[in-house]
Parts: sequence; C-alpha cells; structure tokens
Amino acid sequence: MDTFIESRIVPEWDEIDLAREKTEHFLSDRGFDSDIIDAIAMVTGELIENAIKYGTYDSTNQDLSYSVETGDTAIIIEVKNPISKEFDENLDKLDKMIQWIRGFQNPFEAYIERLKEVSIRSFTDGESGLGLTRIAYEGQSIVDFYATDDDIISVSAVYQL
Amino acid sequence: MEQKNTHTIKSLNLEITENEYISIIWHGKSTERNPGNFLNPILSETLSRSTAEGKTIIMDFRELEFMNSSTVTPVAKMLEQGKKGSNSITVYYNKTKKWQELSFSALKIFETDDDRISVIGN
Repeated sequence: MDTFIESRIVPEWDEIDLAREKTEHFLSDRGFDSDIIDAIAMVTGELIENAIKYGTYDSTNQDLSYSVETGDTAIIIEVKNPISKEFDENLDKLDKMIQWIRGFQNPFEAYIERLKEVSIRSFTDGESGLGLTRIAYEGQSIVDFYATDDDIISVSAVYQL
Repeated sequence: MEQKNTHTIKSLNLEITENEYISIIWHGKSTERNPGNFLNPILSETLSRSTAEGKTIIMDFRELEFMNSSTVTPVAKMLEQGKKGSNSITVYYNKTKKWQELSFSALKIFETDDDRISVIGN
C-alpha cells in the first residue's frame, strides 16, 4: 500500500474540503485512529487555507499542491504554492510567526497567547491568525518552510507518531 | 414561550432555541473562508439579547464535526465580550473527541471565578 499521496489543486476554497476528505480516506485506509486522522486532516486544511490566502497566483501560475506521507515515526504534510517574485510580506510574517511559536516551550502556550490576542479584537475584524499555532498545538506538528529560486514556497508540518 | 431559529451556511447549521436560556447548538462543519461574516452578527445579537433579558447563553459544540481556525476567533471574541460584560455563557464540548478536547479546553482561559463563563467537556 502506498505511503504517499500528492495532489495538484486549483487555489479555490472548495478544494480544501476535498483535500481534507482525501487525506482522511488515505489515513483511514492505512489504519490510523480517528484522533490522528482528525489532526492530520485539520493540518492539511489549514496549510492549504494559508496557501490559498497568501499565495501569489496569476493566469499562468495556479500551481498549488499538497502531499501527505506516512512513515514509521512521523506523518509529513507538505503544501507548495507560488509566491511573489518581489519581497513577500506574507513570507516575512510566516517566518516571524514560526519563530514566535518556537519561542514557547509548549505550543499550547503559544496558542493561548494568540487566542487572547484575537479575542480582544472587535467583531468586525475578520483576521484569524490562529492557523499556525493551531497546527502546532492541536495538530501537534512542527511547522517549517523553505522558498525556492523559482518562487515556490513549501510549508511542511511533521506529526510525530 | 419557546422560540426556535435555524441559521445555515453550507455544511454548518446553528440551531438557536430561546426559552429560559438562549441555546445555540452547532451542527456540521464550519469551513468558510470568513466564517465571521456569518457568525459575528449571530453571536453579537445573542450577546445583546442575553444582556437585555438576563438569560444564560448555552453554546453546544458536541455535534460539531469540524471547524477551521477562523471559526475559533468569533467564538473567542464572544466569550471575551461576555466575560467583560455581565453575561452568563456555558460552553459544552465532546471531550471524547480529541480535537474537541484540545480546541475547546483552551477556551477555559475565558472562564470566570464565579462560573458566569464556563467551559464544560462531557
């Protein structure tokens, strides 16, 4: 049985549910328990949400892909999408957020801090900013990323089994 | 007299019942890009009614199958506003589902010493 799935999708919101469902089926078929499946499906969804929100797409470049790989000790989720050729403010924010999360001994503390921050915003402020801390805390995954010379970003999350 | 209302967006359904309490039962999945556009007016209105009528709000997530992180924000804002105000809000979640236990137990930071705001897993 394969230990790896990869899909190319278009950067449209409805694709996220399909990707989560595909991830759930992939892991269910391989006998993972429902708690792990819920966590990995959530992580996959959150990473693709970020890729759709913050990726730079045009008519010639709509390449968004995701993969899930199961191993003996870990499950790795990876999402790739195009980014701006110029300085990318979102990339800078992503880097700072990952560093900020790593500054906490426990991702629960980072999640709580973020939760406190968003809770005092007004109801009209639509930003969440909880996604990465939720991946770290609820998804129990370590997030990392790299950007390539051809302006693709790869964001990965590693869930230790 | 009991009043019932249902609000639905895609696969998320909020069933609101008003009697001596105002209860909001969450069903399905919350996966919208900006769930606050749907949730904020409902939650804000519920807070206002609770204040005006002195009724406890019950937020029941036990039937919720999934929510994205953008859904957590409106809920956290509601609890924070309720905490600052005079509202009583009880949140129920299903602690046998790990994702619910992790997501909703974190909301205990909004609990008050007098139990006006409480988050209960069962």
